[in-house]
Amino acid sequence: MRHQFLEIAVLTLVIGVATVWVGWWAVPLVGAGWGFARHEEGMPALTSAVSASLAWVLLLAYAATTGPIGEFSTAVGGTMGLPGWAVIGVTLLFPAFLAGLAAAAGDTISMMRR
Amino acid sequence: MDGKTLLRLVLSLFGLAALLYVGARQMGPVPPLGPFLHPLTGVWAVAEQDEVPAGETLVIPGMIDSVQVVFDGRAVPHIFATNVEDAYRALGYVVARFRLFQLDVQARATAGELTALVGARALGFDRRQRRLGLAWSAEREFANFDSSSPAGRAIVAYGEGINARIGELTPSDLPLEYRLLHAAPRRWETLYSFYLAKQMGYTLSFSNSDRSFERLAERVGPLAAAALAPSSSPIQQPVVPTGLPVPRFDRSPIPAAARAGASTGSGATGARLATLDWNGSRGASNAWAVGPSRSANGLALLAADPHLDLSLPSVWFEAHLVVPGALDVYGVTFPGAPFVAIGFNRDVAWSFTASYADVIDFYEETFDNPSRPASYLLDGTWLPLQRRVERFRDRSGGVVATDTVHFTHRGPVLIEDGRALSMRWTVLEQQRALQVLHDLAAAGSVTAWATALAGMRAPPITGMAADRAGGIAAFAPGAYPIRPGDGNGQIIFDGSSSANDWLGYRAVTEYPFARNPSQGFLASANQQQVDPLLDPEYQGAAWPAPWRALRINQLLHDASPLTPETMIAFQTDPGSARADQFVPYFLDAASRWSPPDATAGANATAGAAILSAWDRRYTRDNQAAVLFELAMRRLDARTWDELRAGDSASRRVYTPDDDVLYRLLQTPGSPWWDDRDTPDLETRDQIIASSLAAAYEEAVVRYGPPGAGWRWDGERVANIYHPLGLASLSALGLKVQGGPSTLNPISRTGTHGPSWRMVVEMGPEVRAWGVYPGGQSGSPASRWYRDRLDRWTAGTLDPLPFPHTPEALAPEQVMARVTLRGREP
Repeated sequence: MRHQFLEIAVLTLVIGVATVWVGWWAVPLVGAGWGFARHEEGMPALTSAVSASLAWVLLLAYAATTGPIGEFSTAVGGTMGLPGWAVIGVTLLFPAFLAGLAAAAGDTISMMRR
Repeated sequence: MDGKTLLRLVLSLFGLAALLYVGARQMGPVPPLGPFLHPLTGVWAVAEQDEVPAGETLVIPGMIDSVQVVFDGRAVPHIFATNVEDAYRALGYVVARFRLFQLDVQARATAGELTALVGARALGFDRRQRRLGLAWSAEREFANFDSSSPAGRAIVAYGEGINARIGELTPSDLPLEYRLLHAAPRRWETLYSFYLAKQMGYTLSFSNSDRSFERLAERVGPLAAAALAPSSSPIQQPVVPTGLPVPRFDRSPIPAAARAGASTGSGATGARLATLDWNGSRGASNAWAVGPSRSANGLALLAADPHLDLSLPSVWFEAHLVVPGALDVYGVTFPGAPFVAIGFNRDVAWSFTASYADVIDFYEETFDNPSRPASYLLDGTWLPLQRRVERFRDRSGGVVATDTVHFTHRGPVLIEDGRALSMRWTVLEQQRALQVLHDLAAAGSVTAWATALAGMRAPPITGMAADRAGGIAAFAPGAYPIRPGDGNGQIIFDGSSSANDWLGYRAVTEYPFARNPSQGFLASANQQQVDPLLDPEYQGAAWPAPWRALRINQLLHDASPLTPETMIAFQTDPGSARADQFVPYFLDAASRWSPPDATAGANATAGAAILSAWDRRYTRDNQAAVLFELAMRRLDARTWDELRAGDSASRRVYTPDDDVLYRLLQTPGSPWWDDRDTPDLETRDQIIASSLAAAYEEAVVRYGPPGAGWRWDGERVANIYHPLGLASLSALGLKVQGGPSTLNPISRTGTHGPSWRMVVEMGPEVRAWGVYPGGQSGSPASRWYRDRLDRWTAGTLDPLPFPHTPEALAPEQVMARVTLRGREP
């Protein structure tokens, strides 16, 4: 269990840094790499998804320290006919699915190579 | 490899591909989710944007010397520069920090280039804009623009400031709207400031009243039409005091329709209304000046209250520019134009209202080939048409549509119901508006102010000013066309004869002007400036009914001495001169009406009881105001049944203003009172009383029995929309005090109203107050996006600090200090 937490922490850090330095599309790259590398060890897709979501939660939390994210989410959601919490939800689910699916693909490819 | 593994791979790759697609590509209104949702540089970064980088020194290319910008607690920049160009360059930079999207969208809207920003849904709007010729005329004026003149250098510097901001933008700085549209701002061109001046000209002077009048004359004949759409208001309360008793009422009968009932309108009428419909706002701006003889402390006072289409962010940006010895002006600017339009310096305060002078005419042209015209007929000779092919581009720069606009020597040609109408309009000629606004900032007295204002050619406006020496003045400049014949401009002219062209313009000495009148005050509310008894020359025909002018004059006359506080209170005064005039007729008619339908009689009696107890004020919780407005609407419908368009009960070829209706009240037996839907011959009192009864019944159906359910703010609210029309970025349903024809009217849609309220006391030290709806910022996440809405709704004004030096602002008034400087050599 402790090992898994450590894995998630490391992966969260990697995805967070990659998001800041490279961009959003680094999330599936890291996820795919993780899935490929961690084949047959734990559940790389789930770990990636959780880590990606966590990384973006932390980045969003940082943003919230300098701006009214909660209030603003209502305005942004309104432009799309969505409640504010839905926009925040999409913001956290989007990297999770990106990383998770990429990790699943990497995991499967790794499996097929053996 | 088993099938399960393969399926897993296919599904994960398919899902990943789909996510990457929506992450990278726009899908309908949804922007690419990847960059949009990025926690630090995506849409969330908008919430972190700081328009005011406190304590920083920013490098602005082109800045000659360092400029100090002190932001007060309302986010108003006080710009202290050592030269005028730097001051305007700094203003451009600050405006771009606060209002970048607005700058862009306004310029694109005027030029008819919104399609490139928001997509094909704007194509119809863009076509209309191009056909109006605003961008075409801006380009022509810009071609003659002297960029080395003081005003020219200021306009160029302002644009440099905007581009400095655009040049430093990082992905995190992009305003929300660009993220939603998946677009980016474009570089600012000096030309765009001219676009803005043209758009201002459109807002303040475009009118299709000639074509409305033509439809009316077709329906009722020219004599009746001239009375229903008069070139002089039947109620005179002019801006320029005449010495004659005011108000002066025209109580003469309105001629009967020559061919009443001959036509019930047609689909063609509806089609004609559709193509180039004017927004139809009937003016609501107020401005008044009070001289020392009527003010409490012997100082001249000015109240400004321009009404415009409301938007969030506001059409205004507030600023104070100081260049020792050259410039010290405070007020509101249009984002996109550098100069203070309404404001004050140490010596003079000024404001404007739309003058409603007629400066536009339409000419029916004869083409050689209506489907592919190449020339038009003038005095028996075929002259070549100028052509301009308008190309409408999408975001990628591809041409999505083209349109050919033709021009005669008069201006652009509009095709209406198969008729080719060329348009002569002073706004499409040299306006000189930017030059004049530049010059006003340096005026040292109302006389100098009027001298500077005299250069204004378009749009025609009524200016109001007060100075430190106690002078007050009203002046209405603009190029007033001199037309052939009787001078009337309410017709569609025959374009095939040059004899129908304008003969020139009235001399500046003929412009309406008043200074320091014996009554001690001057007031403008879009009414006719000069009583036609003194100046019978045709000036226009679409004057809004002068109810607000009556009310202001009454308030200023009755309340003495006047203080800034009373002036502020007047700006949201809920009293109605219109109700004062009409209610007695409702009461009188109801008291004498005994219809066969007992219920209708009872309703009229009940309605009259409510109106008789009414103080004729449009306060938010007012019940009687609800009934009165419904009754006035019914009265319009029943009186002007001769003017119905087609089978529609609510649309009319023309609806005379209420001052014409008031004139009709003076003739109880006029045939206009007859309801054509009944075999009987109705009289005035029957129509009035039955209108009240029907209104009462409608109010009960809509709001329940008289009581708490009847509230004026349930009937009329202010709606301030974001330029993209997005409700969550707008301020809707604002409950304001005021109603039709009061000093604080809100249009029926709630989208037209007071855009900037300002009161200035011109003492040794100028004291001023002001508010506009919204706030300084254009960013919906900013605390200055809508911070003034509550005060605006309540009718309260903020004190406006007017410091001489950067240090003169008290620390508690300062939010941030920023230094702007040029690049190191």
